Amino acid sequence: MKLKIRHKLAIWMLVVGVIPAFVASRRGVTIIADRFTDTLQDESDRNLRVGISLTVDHVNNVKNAAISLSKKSVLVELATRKSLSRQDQDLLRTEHSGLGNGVIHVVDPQGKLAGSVSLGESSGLVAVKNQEHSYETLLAHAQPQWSNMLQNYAITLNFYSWEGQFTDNSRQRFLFVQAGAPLFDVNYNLLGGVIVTVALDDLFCRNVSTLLGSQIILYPEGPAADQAFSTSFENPDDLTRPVESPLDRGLVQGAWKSPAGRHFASFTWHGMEYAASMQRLGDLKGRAVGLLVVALDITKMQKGKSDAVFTLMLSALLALAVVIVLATWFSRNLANPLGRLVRGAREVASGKLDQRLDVASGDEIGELADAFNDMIRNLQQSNDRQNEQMSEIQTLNEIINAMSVQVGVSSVISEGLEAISVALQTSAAQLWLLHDENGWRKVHHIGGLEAELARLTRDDRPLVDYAATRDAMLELADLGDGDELGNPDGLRGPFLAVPIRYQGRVIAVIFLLRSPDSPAWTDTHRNVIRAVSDQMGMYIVNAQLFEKISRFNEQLEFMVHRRTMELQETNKKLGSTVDELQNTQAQVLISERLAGLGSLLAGVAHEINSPIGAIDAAVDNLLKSLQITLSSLLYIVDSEKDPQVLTYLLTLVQHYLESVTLPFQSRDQNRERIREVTELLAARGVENARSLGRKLVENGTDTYVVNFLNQYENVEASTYLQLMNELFTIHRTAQATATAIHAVKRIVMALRSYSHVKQDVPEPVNIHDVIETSLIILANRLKHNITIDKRYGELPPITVYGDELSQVWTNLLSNAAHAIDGKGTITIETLNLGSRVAVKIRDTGRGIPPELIDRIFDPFFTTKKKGEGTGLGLGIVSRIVRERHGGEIEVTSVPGDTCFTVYLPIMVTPRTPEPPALQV
Amino acid sequence: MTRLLLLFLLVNPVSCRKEEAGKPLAHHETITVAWSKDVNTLDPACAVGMESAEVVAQMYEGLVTTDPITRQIRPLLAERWEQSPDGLVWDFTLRQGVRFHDGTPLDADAVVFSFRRQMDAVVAHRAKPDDARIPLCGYDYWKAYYDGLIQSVKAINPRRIRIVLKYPYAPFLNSLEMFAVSIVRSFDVDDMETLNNRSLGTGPFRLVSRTPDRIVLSRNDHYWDESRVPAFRYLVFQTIRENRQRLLALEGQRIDFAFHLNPARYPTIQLHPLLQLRSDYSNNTVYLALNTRRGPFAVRQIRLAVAHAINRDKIVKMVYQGMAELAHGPVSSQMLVQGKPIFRENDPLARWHDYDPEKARALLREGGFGLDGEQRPYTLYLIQSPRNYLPEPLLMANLIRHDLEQVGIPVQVKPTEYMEYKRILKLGQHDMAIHGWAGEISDPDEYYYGLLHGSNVVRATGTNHAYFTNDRFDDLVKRARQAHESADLRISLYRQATEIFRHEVPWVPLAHARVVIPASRRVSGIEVTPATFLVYRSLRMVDR
Repeated sequence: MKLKIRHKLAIWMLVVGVIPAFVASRRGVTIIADRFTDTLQDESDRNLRVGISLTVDHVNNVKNAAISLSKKSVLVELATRKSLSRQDQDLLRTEHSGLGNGVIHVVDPQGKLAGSVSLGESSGLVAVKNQEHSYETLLAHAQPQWSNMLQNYAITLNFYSWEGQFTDNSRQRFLFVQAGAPLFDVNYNLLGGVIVTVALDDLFCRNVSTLLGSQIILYPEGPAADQAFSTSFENPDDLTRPVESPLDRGLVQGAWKSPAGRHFASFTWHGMEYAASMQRLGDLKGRAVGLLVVALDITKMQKGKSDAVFTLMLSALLALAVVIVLATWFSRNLANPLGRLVRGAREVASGKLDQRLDVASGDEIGELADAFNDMIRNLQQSNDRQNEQMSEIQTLNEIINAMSVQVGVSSVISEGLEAISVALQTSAAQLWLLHDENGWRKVHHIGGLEAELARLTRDDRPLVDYAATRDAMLELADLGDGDELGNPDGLRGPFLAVPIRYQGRVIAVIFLLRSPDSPAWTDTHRNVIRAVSDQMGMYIVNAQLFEKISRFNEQLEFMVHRRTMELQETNKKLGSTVDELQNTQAQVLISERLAGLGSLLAGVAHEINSPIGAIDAAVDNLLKSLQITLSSLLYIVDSEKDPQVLTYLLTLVQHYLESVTLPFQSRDQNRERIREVTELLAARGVENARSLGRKLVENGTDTYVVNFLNQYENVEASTYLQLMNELFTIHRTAQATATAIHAVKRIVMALRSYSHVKQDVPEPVNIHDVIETSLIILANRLKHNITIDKRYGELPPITVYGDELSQVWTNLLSNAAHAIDGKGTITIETLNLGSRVAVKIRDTGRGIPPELIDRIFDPFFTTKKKGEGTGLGLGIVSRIVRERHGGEIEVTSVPGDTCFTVYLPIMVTPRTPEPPALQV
Repeated sequence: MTRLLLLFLLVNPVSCRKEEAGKPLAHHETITVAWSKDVNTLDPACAVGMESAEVVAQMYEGLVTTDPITRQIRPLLAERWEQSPDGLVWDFTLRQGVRFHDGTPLDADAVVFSFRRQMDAVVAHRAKPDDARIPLCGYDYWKAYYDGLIQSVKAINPRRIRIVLKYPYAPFLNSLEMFAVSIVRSFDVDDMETLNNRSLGTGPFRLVSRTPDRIVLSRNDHYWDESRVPAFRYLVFQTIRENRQRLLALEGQRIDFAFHLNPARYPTIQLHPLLQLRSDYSNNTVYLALNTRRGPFAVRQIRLAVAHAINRDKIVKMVYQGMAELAHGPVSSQMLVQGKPIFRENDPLARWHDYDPEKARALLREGGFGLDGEQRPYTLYLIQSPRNYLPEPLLMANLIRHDLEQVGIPVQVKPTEYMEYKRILKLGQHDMAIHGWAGEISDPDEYYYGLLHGSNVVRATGTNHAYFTNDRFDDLVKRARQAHESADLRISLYRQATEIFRHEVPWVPLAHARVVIPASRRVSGIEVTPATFLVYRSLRMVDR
């Protein structure tokens, strides 16, 4: 079924009005109920907490009373003398009247009653009046408590539920608070204790109730849950008579059993509604002894709640009624004009733009009709305007196309003006261009009257000057009407003077004249000429620029040609400079080698000096030893009867000389051996047994000596030992001398080969020998804490300029030593790569910064301090390796690991006829 | 139409209310702790005072922890550890999957950082004590326990840390549970305020906000031990300076724990139906130190006379009202050495000299007391404000004075402020002093070495307030602290040292106070560590 809009509207309004009203009122009622319950719970809870606090406060007061009483001298007196004057009793009663009904007891250290004072009205409690009885009963309940006070000198505090006896012989159960404090004399000797017992009776409940503003009921733990209680409720019929339990038994029992110890309920009492919150009270051991009920009067709150619900329902109904009335009215008033609107819209859609709607209501529908009418009007106008604009755009396109295909200034102007002239149907068109130095010049004309147009003036100046100063174009419906114009030829017809701008500056002016009988200029004309004038300015300037650039280009070509000629000449000059430079470099290489030699020489001299010194000392020792040997021999030959002894000794020595290799022994073993030998020597009466023993073991001759001594146990040991020792010494000294001489020889050889500068042809050498030579030369620098780690591979002899290579290794090793600054490891590694060999010299020094690593092979580059190096070292190394040997040198460096790798072919072909150092 | 819809929403107020955020913390998910003093810092390494320590211990965790029930060391951030046979090298392996509050995973570097920032600062500061640029907040715990002990702390790999000691230290493992060496995520040490504003720990709670009187922590929902994520959401520490206000707030259930309450209130709190009073064993000893280098107390008989003259039983009862055990030696008989007790039941060693004024008088005569004609009263210094382990210091001092005067020793009680007290004791100008020590690491070493060893007499750092030196005692105690191999050996050494202590009487031990915690009945599951920290994460809300 198709529904009319007014029906839909009515249904919608009902839906959006009625449903929310219904939902809202239902929600509202629920919320009010929930909030009421929440508020009630919170309020009850708060009340209960305050009620508890007030109760506990009272308990605290009882405790404080006990403490303050324990410091009172009268009670000390009571404890010692067991009696108290009437006056003192009254005083105590007055002082503690705020505690309510109760009794003060004093006990001795054994817990026996010493005396008592009753407090307040005591509600006619027999127990209080009959002191003995009351105390005995109390004691039965409170025994552990009192023992704690008396044994541990502790303040005690507890709740008790206890049945007391009244004067009328009825018995009543109460909740009591009892506080105890020990009593001391001045010497802190225990005298006993003060016990304050206060009943939480109706008086107490009324006190709390007054402070709290709610009613209080207190049920002590006991057999009949709702029989015994104290309360602030009063019997409204007769204030003197006790009230019935406001809560029924079921409620009270439910609260006792509630696991959380807290319970909420509501009850009615004498027509008033109460919310009861209940809290179980426990004693020190956690046993339930009482139930505290705080009853909040909620009669008013309940009334408030009903009022709120009623008001809410009423407003919901009212709202509903209003919605229905409104829905009816709206649907009536909206539907009729809407129908007319719909019809009008259909007509417009079918193309009838002259439609007008007549809806005369003043509301939004009326406004909608007016807006509809306006819309149609605007639609019509914009339709007309659109047609005009289409023709303008077409014209414009034609003119701009005519200009855009041109490059030269004159052709842009002529084609542009031509197009304008055709588009605007002029009889004459004239363009003036601004030439910087010469002012305005007429550059193009189309049609007749060329000179006549140019003669037009204003204020006695050519019209073009005036037109150029104007912001807008100058438009005249008829040229003949312009009074301010100088028009000597009496020209007529619609006229336009159009300034052409580029970047705000007028660069040209166009005069346009139509024949006198033509109609006046239209908006279309004006729009076209306005748009074209901007475009034209740009095209003219572009064309001017293009012409300028063409001229520059020609000049540029000429200049390039001239510079090329000059460069060729400079090149020639440079060629000869390079030659000179090469010569200089060769000389520098020689001086570097000599400089290196000089700096090495001091070290070499030192190197030679040490072995020479050793030789010198050795010769001295030899002489001394020979003398001692001779005298020992003489003595032995003289005194020893058994010639076998000497023979055996000499055989042993001979044996030693033949097999002399020093056995290696660890220090620990050595020490052990030294001890053994020393003991043996000492046993045989040798002097300095310890130092001699050590010497023998260190020299490895101990075995021979021990052998000898064991063979001949009766000989005079020291003489033979001396002889033996001297013979060993002579041998060792001779060996040392030979070693020293060999060292000197090596150094001299090395020096000779280093300084051997001229080598014409490559010769086969063992590359390791060459490296060793360099090491000898540098020995002085590589001492101390520098470790040389040699990792030589199996290399064939290679044919190279060995002496020059020596310079390479010397340089690299010297740099490495410099880099590690006297401490670290230099590794020399050689590798056989087949047709090539590689030598790696690696150090653990500080490394080469990455930004410098590309420059280290440049001549004169150095990182050493001024005066420390010539900076030629690595440059020469590079030349010797690369140019002389056709090898390669690579370097990698990070702090702690710098490695120079030299690659050499195993066979060098003499490519350079002379070594670079000798080219001069 | 839209207007009508809006109207509809306005009529329906409940739906909008519930989404409001950033409002007061939900009471049923919040546990609030109140005390009388402000928290001074949240940096574990700098924390001093119970308040800072308590908050810090909720946000940060150490490598190990002590089980509150068995009092045995248990893994925490370290999953396991090995100790070299010489006791010097300790390798700790970290638990996997632990993340800091900001999501960074825990690794060995963080552990190294947590140690090194203290170690380096202390070393740098010693080298240049006047250089203000060296960030230093005291690092008291580092200085007290590790300075001079730890050789190095290194990461072996991302999960393993090696700590090398300079000498073996038997309670080393115990010491690592101290909050001062909790593990923090590394940060820029130049900004010492970092940890006061950011939460960089691994603990079950994280910092939400800190204002002068209020610190709000929230549950760390990504806590590594899922079984121990707290059952409630917010933990709030609030300063309420007035004792009475604090008690009222507790009674009104606005807060759940109230510390520093007046002990006279305890009996009332016990009876309050909405409150509970917990008391637990705690590591502490309260004692009377006798200055063994001054006046008559240099004589052993006179010190022994003092021991016999004081009726300690009575004094402890009156002062603590049942919240303390009588002390019989430097440590409580509940003190364990690596899980084993030092004293047996009815151990004669754990029985102090009896109260016997007659014997005291005889000993005074024997020791020649008063023969030099000196009549001055002997000073008894004490800190006048109550402490956790000593609720009524002045009462205690007066009771002691009373007992001593009974046997003829004149005493002048000198209640002093904390700083002045420290100064007097460091200068050794006291004859007697009431002192208490609450241990951090659950090991006798703190007491025997820290409070009685001859090396701690040095006046600048001295914690040996009796100025007690005895070569044999010193040797035994030193061996005991290094005897990491065997608990039995340590126990035997401590027993021998106790014998000397009993004979020489540098102190009269008085009490081991129980820690008392007044709390609301709204919470259950209260656990306390031997170092007196409440284990908040195991608390639960009781359903009403």
